[in-house]
Amino acid sequence: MQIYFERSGGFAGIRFQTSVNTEELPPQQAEPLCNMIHDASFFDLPEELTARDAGRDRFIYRLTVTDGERTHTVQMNGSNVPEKLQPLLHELTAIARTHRAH
Amino acid sequence: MPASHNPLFCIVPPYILRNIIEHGNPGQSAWAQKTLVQTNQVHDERSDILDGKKQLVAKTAVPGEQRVVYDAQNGTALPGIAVRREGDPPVSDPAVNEAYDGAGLTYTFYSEVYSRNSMDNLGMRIDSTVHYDRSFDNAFWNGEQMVYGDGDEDLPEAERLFNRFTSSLDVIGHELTHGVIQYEANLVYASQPGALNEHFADVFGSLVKQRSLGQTAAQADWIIGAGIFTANVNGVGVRSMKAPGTAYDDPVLGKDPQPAHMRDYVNTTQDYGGVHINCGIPNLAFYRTAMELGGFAWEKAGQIWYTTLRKRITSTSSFQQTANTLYTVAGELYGAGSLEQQAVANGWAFVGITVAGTEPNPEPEPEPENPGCLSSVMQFLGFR
Ligand SMILES: [Zn+2]
Repeated sequence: MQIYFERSGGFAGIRFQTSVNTEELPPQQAEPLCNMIHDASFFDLPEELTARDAGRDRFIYRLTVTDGERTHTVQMNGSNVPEKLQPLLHELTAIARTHRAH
Repeated sequence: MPASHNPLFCIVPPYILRNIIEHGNPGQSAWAQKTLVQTNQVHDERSDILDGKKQLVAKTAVPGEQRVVYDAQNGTALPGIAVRREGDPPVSDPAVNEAYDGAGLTYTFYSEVYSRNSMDNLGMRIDSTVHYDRSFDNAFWNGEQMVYGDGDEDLPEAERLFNRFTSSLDVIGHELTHGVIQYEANLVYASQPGALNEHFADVFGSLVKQRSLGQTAAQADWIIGAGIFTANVNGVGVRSMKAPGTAYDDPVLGKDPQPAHMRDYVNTTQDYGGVHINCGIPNLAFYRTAMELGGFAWEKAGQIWYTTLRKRITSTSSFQQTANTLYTVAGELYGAGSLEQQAVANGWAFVGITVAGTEPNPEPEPEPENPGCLSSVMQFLGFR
């Protein structure tokens, strides 16, 4: 599974992004990511979950997952971020922080 | 005079009071403001008594100021559990006390400098939530209240990039100002109006800090979010109003992306159309104006910007329109052709915007932003 993650906005306006190929990760790292995508029913989520009235200084997330033939992108912000997607976003933010070097 | 002795107290309806505040002479306006505050307090007390909460509500010492700090306990449900109310003594949690004190300093700033009573100018309660989410590197205004994360306080010290967001007074001033903006020009949160929303929040956030430190424009550091980065980050803060683009340059966070001139305006679909990036341009215009005028920046430059924010610009105003209005307002406040008015024109000329009716900037004209940009960013973001 190929995951592309991007977070922009926020008070600091600092962008974080990362690209993860779960097939290149050790199974103990890949499995939780795949489970989180499955648990959030990611491929069933609407593409657009960005609210205009989400407030000010909130993060915007853009997440693209490719699994075999399927590719799906979800963009979201504020309280529109699905509860079930939050563990995955936390995990990807942590990965983006350690990978960032540009 | 105590509220109950004012014969007009229960007779003048709030909408008329609001009209007097807006359109009356300074004396009338001050009276109406005071009366409205008292009316609101009595209404609050009545409704508190009605729902039996009276004995739970701590009474305030300062009329009009009503703060409540909540603890989200690292969850995302808002507002969380109330942990400190107006008039309560400090608690052991520094984040709670910082949010409480910062909201108080910001309230006092608006009240004493611009005679404004809270975000809505009607004494709205100031709610703040701390300890929002886990590893939350952010602070935001959700349309009703302020929310603060703990930064990376749950990570090992060597990996931390952000301190808790209440640790910087201008961050608190910035967030509360988003509330003020919402009740005034209510600038759309995309592209140029969005960058202006960020700009006004930065201006008054910085001025709250400058006034609390008693600093003149020349003495201030003009850094937004000084103290938010840990020692692991190579940077002085999140933004520099004085020198946009120079606040940080770090192997993990990258380089401060702010432009300082219209020729470097960043067209992007990220960050609501680069609202935290392009606010560097008007921020520098404000800094230049304030420096030219000298003294305390909240007095003249701040007054011009505050008056302009009060519905003299609209929710979709561009940089150019806002610069023109600031110039007009400066003329109204300090006289046409005054030094103050000239300082506004010079401030904007420095960032590549020639105020309408003034001598064009000798520098090359900047590329105007694609007029369709606001709508295309809004469309990209799914705004309808
Ligand atoms: Zn902001």
